[in-house]
Amino acid sequence: MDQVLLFAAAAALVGLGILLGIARATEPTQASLADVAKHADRTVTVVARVLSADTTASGALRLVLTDGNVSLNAFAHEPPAVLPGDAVEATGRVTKYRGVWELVIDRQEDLLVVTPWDAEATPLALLSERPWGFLGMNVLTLGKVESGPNGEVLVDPATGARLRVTGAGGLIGEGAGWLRVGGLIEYDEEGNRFALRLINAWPAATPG
Amino acid sequence: MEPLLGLLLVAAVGALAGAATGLLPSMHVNTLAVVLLATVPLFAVALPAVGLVAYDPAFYAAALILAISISHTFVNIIPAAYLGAPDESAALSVLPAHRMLLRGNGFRAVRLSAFASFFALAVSLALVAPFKWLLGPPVDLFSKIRGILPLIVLVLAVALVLGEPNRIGPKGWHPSARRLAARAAAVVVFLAAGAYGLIIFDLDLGAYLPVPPSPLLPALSGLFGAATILTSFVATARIPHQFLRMHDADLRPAGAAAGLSIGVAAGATMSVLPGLTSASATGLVAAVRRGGDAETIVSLSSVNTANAVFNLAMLYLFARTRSGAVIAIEAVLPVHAWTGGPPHDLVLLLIVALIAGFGSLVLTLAVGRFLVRRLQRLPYRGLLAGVLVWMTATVVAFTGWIGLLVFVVGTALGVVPVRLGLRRVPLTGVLLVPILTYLWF
Repeated sequence: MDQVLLFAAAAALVGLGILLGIARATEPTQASLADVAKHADRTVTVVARVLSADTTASGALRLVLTDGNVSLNAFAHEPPAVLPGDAVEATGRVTKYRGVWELVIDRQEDLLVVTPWDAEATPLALLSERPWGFLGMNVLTLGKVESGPNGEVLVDPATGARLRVTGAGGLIGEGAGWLRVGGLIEYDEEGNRFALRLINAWPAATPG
Repeated sequence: MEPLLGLLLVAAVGALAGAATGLLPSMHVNTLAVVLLATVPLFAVALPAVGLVAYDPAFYAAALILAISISHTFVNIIPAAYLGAPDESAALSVLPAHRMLLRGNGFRAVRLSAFASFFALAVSLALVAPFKWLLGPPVDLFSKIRGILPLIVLVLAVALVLGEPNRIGPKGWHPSARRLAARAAAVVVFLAAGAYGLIIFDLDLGAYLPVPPSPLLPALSGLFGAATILTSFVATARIPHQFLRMHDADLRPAGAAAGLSIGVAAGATMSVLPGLTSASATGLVAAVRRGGDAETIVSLSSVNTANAVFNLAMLYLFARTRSGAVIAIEAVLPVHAWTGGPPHDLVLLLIVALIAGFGSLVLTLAVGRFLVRRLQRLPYRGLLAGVLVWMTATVVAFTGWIGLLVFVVGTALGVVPVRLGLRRVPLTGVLLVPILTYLWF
């Protein structure tokens, strides 16, 4: 019997077993969004909320994830159905694209919706009453847009809550109906008031 | 400086740099693309100093990256043929090229590969416009190919395994029983390589150099590189006299044309399909081509060069980045979608590719001839040992110690079909099984 063949086959089998064990033992590292840069070119798992989700021309999904303080871009090649506002667990490789860190998610099963977005998670009334409590945070809320003398305002007719919106540009306009709005709560020095700096807005169903 | 002269200079520098990377065993052009990307800011300072101001520094950087990637596909046959030490894309060229070396036709293998790459480049450049017409409206093959690809690859994989022509087993067995044994062994090797491929893509590789680690580097280096080197080390004390006069009698024009056509078609197809690289394309071509060593080299060399051209076209057609070099180009150069006539940048880049290709052809022939003369005077086993050490160091540097384990396992697996008396084509399961899994599940 060819001893070299036997040795090579045995070495290959043992080696495959060892590699399989390493693959199973090496679970992706859990990381916070703020620390992803420390895991450059490695696979990590993050838990975050989807701030925006745009489909590219190739059918992939470009996401912005947030944990309330930090945002991270993500790119999913084969995305499942994900909506802004959903809390997701995303596993992917940390890479730099055009100088910005992003998470590249290769497989559909690596992007899991942990908690679908709850429209009432951050009520506009709460944001309006206590904006300082959300200062510097990325939030998602629900409202309708009205134009005022000082710009656009997000309102909830049911509660009377109002919150100034900045950075809307031509993205949203009065008469757009109920919108799910994502943005950053900041202090508007010019207007001397708290405001939501708009990141993205999507049509939403009228709340029941 | 005149614009055309500037393009000539960039193409020439790219051809030289690509030749340097192509000569280094196991070095892949994607690695160099990442390094170049980091130095792009220097271009804005350095280029005006040498008179390159006709175009934006970002364009010159993109042109340089393209020229390097084209040149690399020409020159990487040299370490594959002379040393049995390929990079990912030339892995399957090692075997026919090395066989030719052992018959005294090492330089002929290099020459065949270089001319095949050049003709593939020329044909691919001519086919870029029809490529657009086929993939986009009105034919829209892009979506149609993706729809039936899983079936195509499955059929090819089955054909690959069941097409094993050798016979193994005791001489007393009936020939049909020996052929059946060979096919069964090919199935086992294919599945083992496939399991290996599935496992390695799940590994978290480290690296000592700041480039993204790829499991294909240690895997293909082990399966096709180190295994060949070890086999040669045992079987070959010195290489025979290498003939520089060419005898092309065993390469039929029809065979060469067929090899070139299949190579260009495979290179174009792989640029369309997500998740598949030029290494995958060479695996599939090797599975279907049944010609001699010369024709096989023509096919495999054509695949790599054609793939580089069509990858660039895909960037402008569908904003797809299918290779590290194109990812680097897209990172530095604003890409305008190709909807009507070809974008100006794309036309200039294709001109640079053609110039770099011609320069690479001349370089490959010159360097190949130079090295083969000296190869005969060197202690071959010592050279192989040195290449093995270099390959091991490269694997560790780019993929860490787990990559080294992948390399060792790949080497052991690569030796098995050789000792069994089978083709090494079933080892392409390392690429095909993950592809099939990706497509079907």
